[in-house]
Amino acid sequence: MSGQVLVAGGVLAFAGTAIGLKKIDYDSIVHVAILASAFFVASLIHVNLGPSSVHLILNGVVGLLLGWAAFPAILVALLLQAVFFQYGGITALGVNTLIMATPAVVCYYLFSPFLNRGKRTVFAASFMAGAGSVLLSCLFLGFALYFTEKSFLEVSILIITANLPIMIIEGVVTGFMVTFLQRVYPEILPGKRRVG
Amino acid sequence: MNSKELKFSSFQGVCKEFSVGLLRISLVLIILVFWWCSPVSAHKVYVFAWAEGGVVYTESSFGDRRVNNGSIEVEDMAGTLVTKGVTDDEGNFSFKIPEDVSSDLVVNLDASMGHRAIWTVPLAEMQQAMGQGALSGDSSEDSKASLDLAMAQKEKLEKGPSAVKIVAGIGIIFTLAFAGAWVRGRINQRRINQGQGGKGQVRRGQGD
Repeated sequence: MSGQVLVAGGVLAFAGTAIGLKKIDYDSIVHVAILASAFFVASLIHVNLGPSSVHLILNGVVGLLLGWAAFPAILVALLLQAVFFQYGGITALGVNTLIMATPAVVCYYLFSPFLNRGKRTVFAASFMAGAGSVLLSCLFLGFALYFTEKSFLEVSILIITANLPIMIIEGVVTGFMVTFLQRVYPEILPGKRRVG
Repeated sequence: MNSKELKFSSFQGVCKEFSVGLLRISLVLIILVFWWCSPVSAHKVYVFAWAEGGVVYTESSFGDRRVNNGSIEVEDMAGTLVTKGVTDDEGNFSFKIPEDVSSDLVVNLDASMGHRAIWTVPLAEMQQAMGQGALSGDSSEDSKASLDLAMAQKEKLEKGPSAVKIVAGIGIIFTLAFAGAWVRGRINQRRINQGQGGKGQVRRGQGD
């Protein structure tokens, strides 16, 4: 990626993280830690699919349940992935955070209003959030790479095609996770938290 | 309930919620991990190169699978392009060492979608591979040490993430969250105290 993209990504990720930190209330800090841990571990979980394999991302569920707090959660998880497993790298940390967290926040605004409804609606909204956040992340990555590869459409199509299976898997996993959490741990859902 | 008791019960509540949260998220993660999933490394691309018999061999991999059709560019230390090509199905690419090689060579891998990696082949290693290494004993030892180091690095890169690192990562996240909760609690407490002090002063003022 070009230097300008890395710097711009870093600045925007910093701004998003600052907003996220400001919006975290005392009682939801534990939820941020739980979901940051889930995001940190998710990329280690591979799903074998034919000759290749794909890994979970879980930015949809992180965004759906945390909103803007997805920025600090994803930033910390990506930083630890870079330090411990050499994934992504430190220089691209800002851009990677932006690529993962912005779709998460978008999905929060689009789909979290449906989380107070029936089980089927919650599953459908969660599926859309899970799949949609991966789709948006692919588009953001295509856009970020446009500045170095100069072919947004081609790169985006290539990335989306490669990630199509994970979009579906991510949607299903997010759907099951949120409906499961709705049953056993409803406090974690937005709108159902205690006012503290 | 006085302010100290309020603070204590609030911190206790967070601790309790941490424990319950940890248990629940562990359950979800365990289900995910064992549900037809295998933990291996991802999004970690590397290129490894070594010189042998006048040729530099390169191997490109994502850890769990080889890089197919990845673009390789080889430059000298001055940034001049020496050669380029693409990896085969096995992630391999090789090139003949130039006769006039005078510096280390940098192998750049572009595995598309932003996945890039580099590997530097030391000059001494290439000279030895071309049959010139016997000229200097030090150079030969340096080359062997460099190759041993490279092999150790390759093995390290190919290893999957260790359980210790995963647990350490989760531990760091929760430590940060605990620290954040403590700081936020202190700030909230100070605000409550300031609010109570302010109200007291207002009341005293009204009484006067």
